[in-house]
Amino acid sequence: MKAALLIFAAVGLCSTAAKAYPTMIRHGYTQCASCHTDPSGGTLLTQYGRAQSQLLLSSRWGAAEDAEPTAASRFLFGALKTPDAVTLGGWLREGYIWNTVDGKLVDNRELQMRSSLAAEVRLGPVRAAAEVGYAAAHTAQQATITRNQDGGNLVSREHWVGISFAEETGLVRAGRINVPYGLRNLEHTSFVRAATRTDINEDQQGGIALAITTADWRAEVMAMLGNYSVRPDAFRERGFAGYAELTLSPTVAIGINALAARADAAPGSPSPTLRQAYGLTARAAPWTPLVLSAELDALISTALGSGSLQTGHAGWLQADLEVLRGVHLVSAVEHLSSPAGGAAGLGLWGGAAWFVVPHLDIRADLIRRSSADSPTTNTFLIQLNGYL
Amino acid sequence: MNTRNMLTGLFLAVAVITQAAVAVSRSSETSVTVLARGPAGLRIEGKSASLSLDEDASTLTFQVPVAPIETGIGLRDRHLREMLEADKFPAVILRISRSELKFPKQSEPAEGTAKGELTLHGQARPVDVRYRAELGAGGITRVRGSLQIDMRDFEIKPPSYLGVTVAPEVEVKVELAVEER
Repeated sequence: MKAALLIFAAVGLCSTAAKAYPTMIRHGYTQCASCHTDPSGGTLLTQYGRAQSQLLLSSRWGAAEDAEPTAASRFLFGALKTPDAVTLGGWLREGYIWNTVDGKLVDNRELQMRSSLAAEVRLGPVRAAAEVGYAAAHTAQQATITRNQDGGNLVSREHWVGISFAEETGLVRAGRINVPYGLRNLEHTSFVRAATRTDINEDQQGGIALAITTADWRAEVMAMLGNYSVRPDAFRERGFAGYAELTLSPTVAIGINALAARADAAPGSPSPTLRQAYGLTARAAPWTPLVLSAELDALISTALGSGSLQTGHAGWLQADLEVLRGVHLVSAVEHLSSPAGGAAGLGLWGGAAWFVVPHLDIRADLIRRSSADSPTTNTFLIQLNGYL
Repeated sequence: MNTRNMLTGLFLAVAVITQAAVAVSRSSETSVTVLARGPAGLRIEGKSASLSLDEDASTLTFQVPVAPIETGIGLRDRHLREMLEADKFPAVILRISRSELKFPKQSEPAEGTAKGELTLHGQARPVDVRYRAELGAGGITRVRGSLQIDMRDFEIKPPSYLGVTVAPEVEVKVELAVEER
């Protein structure tokens, strides 16, 4: 049973990674809203973001440093021109995974990681965005919009309408939204994302959010009204989440984060619970090729009926080194002490990513996780990611 | 735009340093930063360390070449040069009358706001420059200056690229060290 759970967790490691690059701070981009339709990052790229992807992320293949982005940076590689008010994008991510438990190969197979399309429309200050896609059986279950128990489902990670104000400094929106908490890192199954339930692959919440983005700081707060992909209603968490990040310099930013959510029940627990997380984040590029990012979260879980309180913590420290334009070596160490109990876990990540051409990258990761009361797992994952 | 601002700041700062003797900027300690902002918190910084100074009995003249200004993205640098028509107007020039400046003494920094004339994009306009100068060891004067300009005053259209339009107001900060020749 334990081995089966470990395999399940390992599968989670490879499931759909969304696009979000906190490491763009190496280029002086401390905020996200210029390049992404979500002011806190991730998801759909704006026209400007598409251009930056080619100019700053991808290998240049001999192109001059001051060359304009090519049609390859645009939607469908420039085959379809869209009106300025409409932003379109899509993801195709495929992978292959090998899992070992205590050194024995227990699972290896191809993964359909992400297949989705997204759009955003801007009409004056009014903005609306939605994503729809397909997820294989037993993946992205917190984001499904259909109910096929044993097969694939349609998913929608985000769908919202909002109004921007103060020359796009602010955005208030309602709908299904990424929870504003912590680093919006690509490694969405890292301990910090899983323990705080802020995995951008599926942990979005329905609610109302206010985001403010300036050159010197950014913040978003959200009233969480429940994830309506979760049933029954008693399992839905409701509460608040938010972060504020201060730009200390064009390449250094620090943030504070908070989340409090209550649910009437949970699988296996009929009692209401209050879950809290409080975190610190930091991103810095001391040298342009090197970005360090860190997050440390205090975790608190309270059984409201009995008043019992359990605490834990999760931590993440990552180094991203761009050794050649478009080629990154990525390593991380993570730690988890879960409020649910059990021995503390240690995770080590090592890998490489190559942004071969605009909106096409390949990545390989080796993830080793161990704890005193579980077998050690090793996951090797390779993935090919295309953005339409 | 960034370039212009940077140049302006540099000029001002340099002006502060020189009292009677000809001052020479120590290029290794010269930093000009131009900060422009765009929608949704976009922040663009241009940097340069290139500055020259001439003076006569009444005026200090600073020149900052446009070409060396770097924003961290090659394409954006090219757009900057094109916007400023760097081939036609290769430098930004700041002239400040000596009478506008206070000069620091030992243990007595000088600071204030000086009026000068900034020539950018071929357009000369009056500007106010805030500065602080401090005499240091070895006869070196360290100067910090800053100013804000509106690029439209210099007949420069605020740049717009792929839906992102930069605000016309630009902030310039300069730090430099000057020693008497």
